[in-house]
Amino acid sequence: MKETLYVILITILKTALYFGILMLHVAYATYAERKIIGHIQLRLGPMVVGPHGLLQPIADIIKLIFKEDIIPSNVDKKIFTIAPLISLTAALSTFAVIPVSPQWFIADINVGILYVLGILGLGTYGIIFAGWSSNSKYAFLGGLRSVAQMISYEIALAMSIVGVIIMAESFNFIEIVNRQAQYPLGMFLFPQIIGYFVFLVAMLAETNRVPFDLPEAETELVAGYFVEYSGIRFSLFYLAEYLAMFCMSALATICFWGGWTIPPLLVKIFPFLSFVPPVLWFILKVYLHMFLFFWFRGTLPRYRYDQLMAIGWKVLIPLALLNIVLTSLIKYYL
Amino acid sequence: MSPLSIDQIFFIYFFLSLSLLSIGVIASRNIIHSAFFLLIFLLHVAAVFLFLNAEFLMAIQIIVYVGGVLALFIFAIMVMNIKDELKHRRFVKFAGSGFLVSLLFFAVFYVFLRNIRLETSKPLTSDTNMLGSLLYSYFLLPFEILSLVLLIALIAGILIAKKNPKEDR
Repeated sequence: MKETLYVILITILKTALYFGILMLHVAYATYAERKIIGHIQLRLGPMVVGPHGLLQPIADIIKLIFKEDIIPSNVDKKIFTIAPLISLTAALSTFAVIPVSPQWFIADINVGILYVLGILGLGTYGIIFAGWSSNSKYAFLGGLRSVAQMISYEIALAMSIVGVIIMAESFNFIEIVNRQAQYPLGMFLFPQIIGYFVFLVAMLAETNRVPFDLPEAETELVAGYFVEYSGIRFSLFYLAEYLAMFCMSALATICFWGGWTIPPLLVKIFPFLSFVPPVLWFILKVYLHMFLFFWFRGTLPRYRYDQLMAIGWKVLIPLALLNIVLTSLIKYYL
Repeated sequence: MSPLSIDQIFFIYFFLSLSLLSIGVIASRNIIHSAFFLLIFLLHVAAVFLFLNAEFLMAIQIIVYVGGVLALFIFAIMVMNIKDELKHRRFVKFAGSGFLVSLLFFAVFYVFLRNIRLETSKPLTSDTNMLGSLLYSYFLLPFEILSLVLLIALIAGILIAKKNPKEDR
């Protein structure tokens, strides 16, 4: 009994630490997004609060927390208040199984990948319930669009990872990373290049980012499913979206970029690289993917709805299936 | 009475919450509230799988039922007009026969489950590898038959949903 309590206490402490680091990352991801898009559009981005606008995210958080939390009169109150919490819980609980380095994880479970895919799908419910309970046309349309989009792209996302699972022969994240370290390049990126492409596109669609941000298309739906939300509940949706982006980046890093390991080939050329701590490598690779998200937002226009569905069902899913067949054939004959 | 072990506490919690949630699913008048109860119910079932050391089933339960089936349910519900549903009276007059049927069901259940004895000596382990190899060797025929049945259902669904080109004109 005492040991159980000890384990629970340690897990709570770890979770709190992890949570704090994640929140800081999310806050500064919004800052990075505004800066990067600003520079892409030849602007400076936020510059006023603090040196180079560095305190801007803190100011934003304070503003959002102290704003009035308005609940419109015609909404379904229970569902309306619970919806942002579902989104946030789903996005946060994926991080329970994502390892940052061989020693740094909260839980190391055998079916890590499946767990993350399943829990990420839960985030849809926050959006559906928000859209439905708001009792507003724009929110409702945003919710409908998001369900259709997420169901379609979840299939492609899950299938793109099957190739990695076949190569690693495991659902466990740590096992997958260790298996990649045996290759000279230290990553599944090149043998799984089709899978990575599918994953990258599906990743953008699953997190409702540009060019697939139809559920929150400003020009058509005002803001989509969270039009009626304000104050802290509004920011919970934003938090969930950015957490999902971080989760996707971490998933891409672990499954395709070799996680926290350094490519063995690079270590042979530059031996001093082996002194870099694994956590740093992991974070670097995650930031690369976050930069991709912002880069796409700065450069690509939004797709039309029928184009979105056509890409999902007619291009990505067949490509993912082809990838599975090719990987299994190569695995069987080598 | 000896203090309850952690296992027993979990069992009692799941037993109570699963029964309350399933009552919530059928008793709430608002169909979206039913869907919400069903969502929590399915998550609890996943937790029960985990409790029984079936990690793989837990993950699949979440992916298939929570991520797929229920999302499609809600998608269908959202395009319905629930105001009409609220006007209907509940099926109160069938309460007696419903009670009888459930009594019969639980009686049969009891007769079947009476003689089951759990083997507690064998440690329960979960192995996804073993599941895969069994599914593709010993259970290959049932597996293939199931996939065929699903394929037929899929084709039938598409045929029903497809518009008749003659009706369009």
